Amino acid sequence: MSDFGGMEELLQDFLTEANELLSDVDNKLLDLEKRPDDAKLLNDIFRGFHTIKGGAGFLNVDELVKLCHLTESLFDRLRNRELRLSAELLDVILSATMCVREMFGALERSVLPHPADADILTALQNALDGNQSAPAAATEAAAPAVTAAPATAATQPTTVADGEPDWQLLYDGLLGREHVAAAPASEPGAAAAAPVHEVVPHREPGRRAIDQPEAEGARAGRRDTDKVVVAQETTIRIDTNRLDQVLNLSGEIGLAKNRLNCLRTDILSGKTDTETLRALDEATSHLDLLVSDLQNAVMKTRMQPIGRLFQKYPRVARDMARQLGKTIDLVLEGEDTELDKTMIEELGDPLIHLIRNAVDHGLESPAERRAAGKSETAMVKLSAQQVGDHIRLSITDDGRGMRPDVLKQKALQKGLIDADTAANMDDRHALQLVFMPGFSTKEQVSNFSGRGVGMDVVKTNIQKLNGRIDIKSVVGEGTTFTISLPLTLAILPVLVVRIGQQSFAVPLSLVREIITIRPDEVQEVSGRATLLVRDEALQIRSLAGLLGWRQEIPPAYGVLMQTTVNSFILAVDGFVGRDDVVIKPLEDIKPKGIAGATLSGDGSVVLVLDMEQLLADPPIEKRNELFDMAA
Amino acid sequence: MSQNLKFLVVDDFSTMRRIIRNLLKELGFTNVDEAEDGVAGLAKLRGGDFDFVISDWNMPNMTGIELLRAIRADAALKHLPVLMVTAEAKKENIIEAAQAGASGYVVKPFTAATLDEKLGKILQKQGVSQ
Repeated sequence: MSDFGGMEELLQDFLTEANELLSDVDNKLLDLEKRPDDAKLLNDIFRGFHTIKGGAGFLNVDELVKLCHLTESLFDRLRNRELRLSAELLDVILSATMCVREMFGALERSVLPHPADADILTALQNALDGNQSAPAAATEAAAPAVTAAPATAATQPTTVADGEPDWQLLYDGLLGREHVAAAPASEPGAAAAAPVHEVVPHREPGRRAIDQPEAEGARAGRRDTDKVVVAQETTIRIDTNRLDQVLNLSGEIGLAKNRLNCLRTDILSGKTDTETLRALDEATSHLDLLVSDLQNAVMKTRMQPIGRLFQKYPRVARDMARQLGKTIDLVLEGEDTELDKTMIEELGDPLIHLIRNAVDHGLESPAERRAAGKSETAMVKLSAQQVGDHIRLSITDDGRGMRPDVLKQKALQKGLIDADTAANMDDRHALQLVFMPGFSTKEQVSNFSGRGVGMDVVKTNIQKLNGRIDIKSVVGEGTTFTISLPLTLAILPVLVVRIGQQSFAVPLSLVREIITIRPDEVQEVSGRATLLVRDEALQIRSLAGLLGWRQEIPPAYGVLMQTTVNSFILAVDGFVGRDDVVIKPLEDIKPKGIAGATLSGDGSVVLVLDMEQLLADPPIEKRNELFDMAA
Repeated sequence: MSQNLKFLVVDDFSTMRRIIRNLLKELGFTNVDEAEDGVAGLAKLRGGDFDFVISDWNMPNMTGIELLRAIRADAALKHLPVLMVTAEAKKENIIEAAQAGASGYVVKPFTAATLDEKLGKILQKQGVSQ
């Protein structure tokens, strides 16, 4: 009957928005720790809980309403300077926000949340009563805290009966005659002194009678059917300006299509004069431009500021540091940087792990820091910026730094590398050891991300996003992890190359340059075909060889490839050009080294290469195998 | 009651704007625009011919009560009915709203029926209803 039938959808919207609000509140709470008297902060936090409460009320989530109401009331008293914020009180409040988050978690599963922990409610209530000496208020206050759930029901009829009609009468009276206002307004502080929690009607009388059957029905349904799992984050909020742009462009494309239709009719009926052909050329170029604009505009609708992800971390970092007896400052930079929504979601776990790693391993204890002449409060900086067509994220700490010799030692002990390898390994490669599976020592289960992942998983996850991760570290000064990511996963810029008649696409991000290979310049170094490019000896690997094909004719061109590990020359028969492609995954078949397929302009299939897989087990190619065939 | 009244819903929480919009739709009012705070609300009111304002109380930049005062102080807008929405029935809030010239007052959460009743009363008083 009502639009509340679409409750699930509303719930989703509420959760998306309320989650952002809560993260914001969490961060402001951390600021509050430093500036407990900041009126604006107190006010903002008050409003955060207030807003969440308002939404929860409409969704009938009574437990959330109750918890937020208590917290909000507390902030009301704090901002009115009736209470002072102590460290203990802040801890209570932080655990309350944790509890609110847990309730959101339940709602995400379409389950009504359990009542908040009685301890938290009691603590909030006690704090709220801190300055109230009246015994009546104290006993009245203790009741709801102890018997959590029934208390609401018990107190509700009285508050509604006592409160609501009374206010309405008063209000009507006020509206009718101005002078009535004078009396209650002049009661000195009477209104302010009235315990706030007493006068909150959770519902208006009319609501029960009208909405009960439906509300109860919906609620029972939600509780029982756990299978109605609301998939989180399947919706996206888009700036309407961006949507308008998409709409605009699709309209213009429609017009361009009409123009082309017209020209087609002309041409099919034999009208092929210069004028018509020029018009065709113009219309096609125009369409070309519009389509690429549209692609960009559509891509932009998926872009979200990374701040939405970042803002979850100060709290995580603080809690983590506190557990470890460290104090840190998490600095955020470049929160406005935009990134594809899928990528932002996929980055959540890796970033938490890197922050945890920094706080746990990177940072020294306050005593060690003091001894080293550093400030006791450590700094961890999380920053994002766009660099060309890439996004660069970095996690920097000012801790003890990573010592290559220690890392090598550890890898040796764990049998991940042998003594020879360790002895020949340079510092840069030694740092990379932390990404080896099995390297992470503490496989502790995280309180924050829910599962313990090693650095190897971080690297794998970043690579899945076509990204790279690098480490820079200076002993005694700190460590920086840098992650580079493409702007979007939807469109991949590629270089299209050819072997025989088949086209292949190589991710452009790996291409450094293109060279011609002259067979007489190719040398053989330790049994491998090698070419000297500006004094750098680069191994030649034929694409055919990597794919397990036979090189039919000597490859004429080389693509100088740069991967995280090394540089080499990918030898091919020829080039088609550069292109922006949309990768379609191959169903059911999974040829080695092929990420997917795409269509080229002339309608033929182009296979997109997965370079990492392709390079997993490269064959050794001698010079003569590649260049001295009897062709 | 005139169903083509043009409403402006002012609230900083978009979920809440949507809830109120849905309730209004249930009552047959489909001509609804939204603003995210008092400042944006006032700008929209000055730019368009609205018939009714429903405003939240607690908002950043410009609160509901400040918006109400601004509306009452503007010769072109002061006739507009303004329904204030708030989460609590606090005495001082009600007094403040009444003194600032609110046409009505509704406490969250409310149903379509409650909203209907509040709107009915206000419109009757205003003589807008037909």
